[in-house]
Amino acid sequence: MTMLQTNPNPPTWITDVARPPGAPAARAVNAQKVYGKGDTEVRALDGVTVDFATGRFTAIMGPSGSGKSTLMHTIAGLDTLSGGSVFIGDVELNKLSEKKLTLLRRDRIGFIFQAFNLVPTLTAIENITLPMDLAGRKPDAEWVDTVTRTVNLTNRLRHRPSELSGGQQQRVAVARALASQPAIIFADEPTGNLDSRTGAEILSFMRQAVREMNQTIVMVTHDPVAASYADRVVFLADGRIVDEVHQPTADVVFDRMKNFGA
Amino acid sequence: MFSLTLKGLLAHKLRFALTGVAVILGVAFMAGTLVLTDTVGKSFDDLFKTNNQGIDAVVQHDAAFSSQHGTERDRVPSTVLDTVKRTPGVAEAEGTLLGFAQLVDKSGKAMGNPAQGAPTLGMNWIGSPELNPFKIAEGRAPTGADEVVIDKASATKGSFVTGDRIQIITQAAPHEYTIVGIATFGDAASLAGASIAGFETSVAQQLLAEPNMFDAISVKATEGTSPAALVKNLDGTVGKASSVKGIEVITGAQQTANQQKDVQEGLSFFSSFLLAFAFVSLFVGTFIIYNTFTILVAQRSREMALLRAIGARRRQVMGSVIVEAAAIGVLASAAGIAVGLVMAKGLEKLLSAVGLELPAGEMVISPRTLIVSTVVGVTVTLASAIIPARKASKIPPIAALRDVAVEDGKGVLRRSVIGVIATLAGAGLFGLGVTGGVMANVGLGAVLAIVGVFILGPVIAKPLGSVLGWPLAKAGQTGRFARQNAVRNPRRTSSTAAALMIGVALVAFISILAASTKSSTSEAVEKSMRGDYVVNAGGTGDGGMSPVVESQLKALPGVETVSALRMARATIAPDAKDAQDAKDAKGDTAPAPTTTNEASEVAGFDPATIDQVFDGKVAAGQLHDVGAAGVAVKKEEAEAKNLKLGDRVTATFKTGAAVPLTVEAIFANPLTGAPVSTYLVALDTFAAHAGTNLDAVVMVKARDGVDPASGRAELEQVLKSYPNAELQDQAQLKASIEKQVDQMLNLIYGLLFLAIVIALIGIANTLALSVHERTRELGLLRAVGMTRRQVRGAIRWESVIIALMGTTLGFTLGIAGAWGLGRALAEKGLSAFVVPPTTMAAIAIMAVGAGVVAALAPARRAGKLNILKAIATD
Repeated sequence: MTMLQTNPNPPTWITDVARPPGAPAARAVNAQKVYGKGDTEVRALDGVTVDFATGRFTAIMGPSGSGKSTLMHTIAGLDTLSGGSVFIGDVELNKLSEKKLTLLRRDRIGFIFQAFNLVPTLTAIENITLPMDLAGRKPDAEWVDTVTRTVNLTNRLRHRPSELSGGQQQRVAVARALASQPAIIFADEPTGNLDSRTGAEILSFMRQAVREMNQTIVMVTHDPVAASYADRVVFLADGRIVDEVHQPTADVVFDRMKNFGA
Repeated sequence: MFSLTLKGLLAHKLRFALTGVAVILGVAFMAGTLVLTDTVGKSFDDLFKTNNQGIDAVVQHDAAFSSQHGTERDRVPSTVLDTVKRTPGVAEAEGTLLGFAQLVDKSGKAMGNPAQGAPTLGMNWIGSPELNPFKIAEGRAPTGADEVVIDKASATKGSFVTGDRIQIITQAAPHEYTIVGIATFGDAASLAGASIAGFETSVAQQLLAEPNMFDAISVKATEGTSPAALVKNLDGTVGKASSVKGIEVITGAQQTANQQKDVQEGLSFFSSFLLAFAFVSLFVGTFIIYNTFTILVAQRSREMALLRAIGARRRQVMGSVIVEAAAIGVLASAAGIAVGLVMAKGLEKLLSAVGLELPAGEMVISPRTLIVSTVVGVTVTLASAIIPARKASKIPPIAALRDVAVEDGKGVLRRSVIGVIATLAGAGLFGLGVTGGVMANVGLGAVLAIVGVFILGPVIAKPLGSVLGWPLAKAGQTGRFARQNAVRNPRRTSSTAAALMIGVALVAFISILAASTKSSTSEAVEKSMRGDYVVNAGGTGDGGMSPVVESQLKALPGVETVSALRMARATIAPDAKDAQDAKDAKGDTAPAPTTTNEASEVAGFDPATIDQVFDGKVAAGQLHDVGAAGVAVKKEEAEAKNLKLGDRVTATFKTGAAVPLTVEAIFANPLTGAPVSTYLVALDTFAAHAGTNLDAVVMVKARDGVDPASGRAELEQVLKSYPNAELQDQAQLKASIEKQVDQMLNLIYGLLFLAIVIALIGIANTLALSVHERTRELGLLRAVGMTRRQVRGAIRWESVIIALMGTTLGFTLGIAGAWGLGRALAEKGLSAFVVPPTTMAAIAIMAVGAGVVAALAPARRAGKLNILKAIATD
């Protein structure tokens, strides 16, 4: 679990991707997302401006329908905005074609979903290197090895998803997100389908990646315990940012949530 | 339960539409065939009705024999006509004659082609308007030796008007006639497309038949005499009750019925031929339906388990699937019948494109067409859905609570054993059928072998798909996906591929057979043709050329030998061995005329010259030794009928006379220019009985040292006056045979096309359902960076792998089948086994192309997939 510490030379990508302190890995400026028209109009995002600092673990919280998933989807290039703009690094997503967006996701963004993270016909290792295979790039074998050791999957690599437990499947998903050395990882309720012990394990891996690999992670969750693993929690309600906590604990998060009726 | 079914149908309109298409096309083919044959049949019925309108009785010779080509009988002498005219109750009587006469257009080309299209007929112009189905539309009836009436359609086509001169090819020397009239058949411009040349009766006898003879006598009754009474009177003067031998008298209505029956029999062969292809389409369709229902049941297993959990009984679940199938069957059959009307037109076009012109009037949609098409469509759909329905009923209620993985790898051994047994049994039955000549066994064996391979499919699919997909997987991640997806559900992949397999197997089989036939016949021509040229003018009953051609060619300085062939049909019955001895003792040679459907092709040949132009590869005796009472028999026929040198047979020709013949030679090579002929008799004997004065083929041997170009020019100079006669050297003869084979081949390709289209719809259908099933997975792939292009590529290549799988299996079956048939027919002249490489390559390339096309819509849909919806957890 602490294999990284035994690696004397941090991989070069860290220096590539690491940005000057304070420069965000991703940000949203006055982001708006409106569904429907007239009476049925729903403002999922109502002018959200937020930065996600490089090398930080940020949690987005909020009640159902608060817009937290929409925010994540739009910043991750899975959905488009109705107004405002979102950036990954310096790249403004609104201006990208569908194809460029896809390539951006492939090359610069990692994903961890709640469930169905893996392609059932591919083995664990094939799933881990999938984005690079899609790009036709040769994965950095040493780095992939490091990542799989970190998430403790070394002896499960030839298994298919159906032969893995839920926790193991999520670890493969974490490894995939890390393996392509993305500028930012988006995690959508990554522990939502897991028991608390397995969930804690996954969250530890994620925090470890931030601390030791300088990885940037943005996680959507409604679980205060999960949020407590983050460096910072951003609260959304009715499509707006309503609160923010740094270095949260589960109790503090739980208290704050009560304030806006989650 | 029923309303649930209905809602299910409405909810999945598209899927069911796709399934329906497989049924619709198969049913349409069948309905189209039935409509076309009914329409053609009706046209003929009407034609005979018009032809015999006003005729109360027909006096004609007794039938000699009937075969699938119709009834053949001798002519009646004109003295009979005199007696008929004197018979009480007869108002009018006219002798009728029909024979070969081909018009030549103004550019010197023969009009029409009796070997493929409508006949080119000559007739005597019947004076009585009551008895003549033709009417003069313009001009007058022919009276002089130089005068002719032609049909309006030919006049229009050749821009002829009355007063024009026209050359007409008959059994007489080339001659030009003056068109004195233009006639219509009833009100139609032609007799179902046949060209007509009407001559004055004695002229017609000279040109078409023989002097003082008629084909039949048409009789009109006096006022107050019923046709039956007229027949009775005629029976007394010329018929059964008279002293005249061998004449039958029937009513006009009977004549119409007989003629209609003859044509219907001919049409039924044709209809069976087309229906066989309709059944191939339906058979391919069953795989599609089976596959779609299996996938749908798998996809809805949760829903069905839920139904079971809340109390639905197994039978109810099974019933719901069956009712769905029935509903699709009914709807698709109805749509299929509608499409079938278009298909009937299409088939007619296809047949005419390969030279088979049929008279088709107003479209006939009989109740039988509607009933048969619906019953077959519904039955096929239901039968295909039964296994999936049973599978649905076996889904346990607990499946509702589980994430069901449908794939089961169980029963591989059992499947392999059953599959291998079925395949081998099918191959065995096919072999038996081929060697025994039983078509039912051939068909059944083929179906069984296909089913066997289908059962084996899931076992073969994984390794085969992996091998076929290997180059793709090497090419990149998209290819790897395609390969993995192609083999991830071997059962589905293999049943999808099986549909294409059938089409490809048949195409490969037919192509190989055609190539082998071409090669074998070319080889046979090379081996047997000793002459330099053949002059070809059509086969049995399709026309021919005047014997004058032979004598004119013979007179040419550059020609050494000419040898003419005539063709006719006759029944040949081997005499019982003991009867022969008795006959020898008594010298009695008058057995009763035979009625059989097995008429043989008989050629008249010239024993004196045959050896110079034809190498018969005689197994016994010599062709030049065949005398006036002798016959030469083709080797395979001799073996089939167990005929040996010296055996006696009785031949019954058109004239009805039983001709005793002795087997005097047995030959193996097909007769040059007349390869269908299995019996050869000397020309003099032939002329006395076969009732034709037309040469079908004249074989020519040039004198040594004659320059081929000038020798040919000399021949062509003579043949210019006979535009229906084609001069062919060895290469041209081979080419013309190959062309005939190719025409047949193209027709069969055309008919198989639909089956292949259905198979492709099946691939598209399976892919669409798979894409639907993999929505979430595709969403994930798109999210982590698979481009639309890559998604489309993966689906496309998956489709190509499935198509190639079907092609590979189809090739295997097709080649094996053709090889088996070739082995069995090797003795019967199919000496070569040729797998045409370009055709095979073309089929493989087309299969890949077809795979790409089939994947177009599913791939586009997969590419356009909404990522957010696909990955949404709820």
